[in-house]
Amino acid sequence: MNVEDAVWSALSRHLIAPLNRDHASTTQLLQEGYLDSLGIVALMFDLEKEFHLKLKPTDVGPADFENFSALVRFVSTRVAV
Amino acid sequence: MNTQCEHLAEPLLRTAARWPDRQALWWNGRTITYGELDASVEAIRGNLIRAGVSPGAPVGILGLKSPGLVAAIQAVLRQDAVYVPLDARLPSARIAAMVAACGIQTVVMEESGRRHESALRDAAVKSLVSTETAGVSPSRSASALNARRDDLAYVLHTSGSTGAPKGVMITHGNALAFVEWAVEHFRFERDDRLLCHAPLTFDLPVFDLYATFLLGACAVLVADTAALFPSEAVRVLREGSATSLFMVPSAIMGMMSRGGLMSKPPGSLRRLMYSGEPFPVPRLREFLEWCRGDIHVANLYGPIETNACTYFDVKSLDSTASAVPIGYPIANTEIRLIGGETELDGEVVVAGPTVAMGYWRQPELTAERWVERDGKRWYRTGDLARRDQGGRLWYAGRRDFMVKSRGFRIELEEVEAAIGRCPGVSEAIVVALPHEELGNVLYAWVTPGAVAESDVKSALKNVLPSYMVPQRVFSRQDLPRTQSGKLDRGALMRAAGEAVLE
Repeated sequence: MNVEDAVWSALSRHLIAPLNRDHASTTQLLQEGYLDSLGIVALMFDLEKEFHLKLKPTDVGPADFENFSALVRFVSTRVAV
Repeated sequence: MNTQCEHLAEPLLRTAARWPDRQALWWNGRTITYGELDASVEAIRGNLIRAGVSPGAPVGILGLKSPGLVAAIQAVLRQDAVYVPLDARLPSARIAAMVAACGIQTVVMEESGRRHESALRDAAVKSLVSTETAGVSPSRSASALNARRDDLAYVLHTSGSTGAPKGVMITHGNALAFVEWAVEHFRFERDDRLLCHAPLTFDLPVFDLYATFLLGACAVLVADTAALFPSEAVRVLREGSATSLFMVPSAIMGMMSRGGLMSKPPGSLRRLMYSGEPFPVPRLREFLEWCRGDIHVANLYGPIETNACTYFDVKSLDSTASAVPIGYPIANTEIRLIGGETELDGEVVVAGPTVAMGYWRQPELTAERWVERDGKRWYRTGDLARRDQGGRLWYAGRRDFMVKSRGFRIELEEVEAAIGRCPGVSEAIVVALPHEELGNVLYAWVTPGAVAESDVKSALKNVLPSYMVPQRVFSRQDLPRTQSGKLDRGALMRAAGEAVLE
């Protein structure tokens, strides 16, 4: 599975409600209420496990969760480190 | 310092006239002075006048926290109108239902509210006013400020057991009574910087903002999306040099465990007022050890309908303490305990200047919860408490199915009613499992067994705020019942516990 598919798989598990992947890059995940604080913590946990990352809470902020593309960018950058 | 006011718009007007160059708000690293904030308020008020907003009219304030939204609230107040804050993250259907129930014809909104435009139009909203003020001519007429302390100032929505949110009607005087008391009791000063962490639809920012304006102090605003990240909240606290926190314990504990709050000394922090739910004693003890007595810590209690009505100053916790009292009534407030075996235990009923008028357009529910006795109006909180020999009150649970999760108040019956309306669901029950940091986590069971969890959660997202959507929805052919035939919540609580451990 490539990074984008794996991030989508993790994200879709923690969305408050299902979201069409075609719209995910233009949907504001936080501003439109698709992710809340519980979902963010659970998603970070899954991303760490999936990509063997060690993330500190200070490593992530609202911009990384703005939409699906931002999240893929964030994970890709961390995986490359 | 004269902190007595008749009207919630007075503090900002007064301070802006006297100290226009003082910092009023701190937002994303920049400051907004009282003069600048006042100019934004007048520009939005100009738009409200052009939209025909008259005194007493309910006006929606839709968006996420921002200086523009703060200005919009003040603009509505200066028109002697009534503001109704609406969180842009809520489903359109819920916003439309609240707007229709309140009879709102004008909504002031910032960018994040735009996606709800068609729902607002469908709900018969006639005017949409932007918080953008660039190029907008300010109002030319002076604010009359004819409203008095007994007049309605704003409506806050909270979960309702009948299946729809309730609008709590709060007067200028209700809000000012608590703000004036707290400013004096906690010795706030003009150089204080109050962190405004909760969404504007919550009751905590009422204190943060009006105390700020009353003092000529500064409010350090945490964006609603940033508030979801404890490390961001800590960053804003430090960069904004906040001196005072008024927050729910779950948010403070998040800042302690995941936000790095305790990685540095308290710095500018002088006060922590917490409210909304109990602060687990071991975590509170950890906080007290960190601040070494340099921070005034207080537990404030009170549902939205009473503002905060009791307080307890937490100076220390002995090693045997297992709970913190909710304490003593604030000034001019009376608390009785009714329906218990003695006068020292029972349901908390409250009378005094902070107690709200009632529920918007729900006279029957208002009559059920507000009762006249001994020439006073008492609000029945539904909370149980006991009074010890020293006169301190101790919280002892609920007499119904209201729970708190992350500081948000949730009537389980409202969630059950919403699930019951989902296609294919014939019966639903929701239980809350206690969680140390979050307060409670919700789990739902539905019949029949063929109902898909994703379908239910998807449908709920369209009608409920995210904190009311259960963590898991399990479907079964039948639900467990007690011998008397009632749904067995105890069995489902145990099943929820097992589901968490799986």
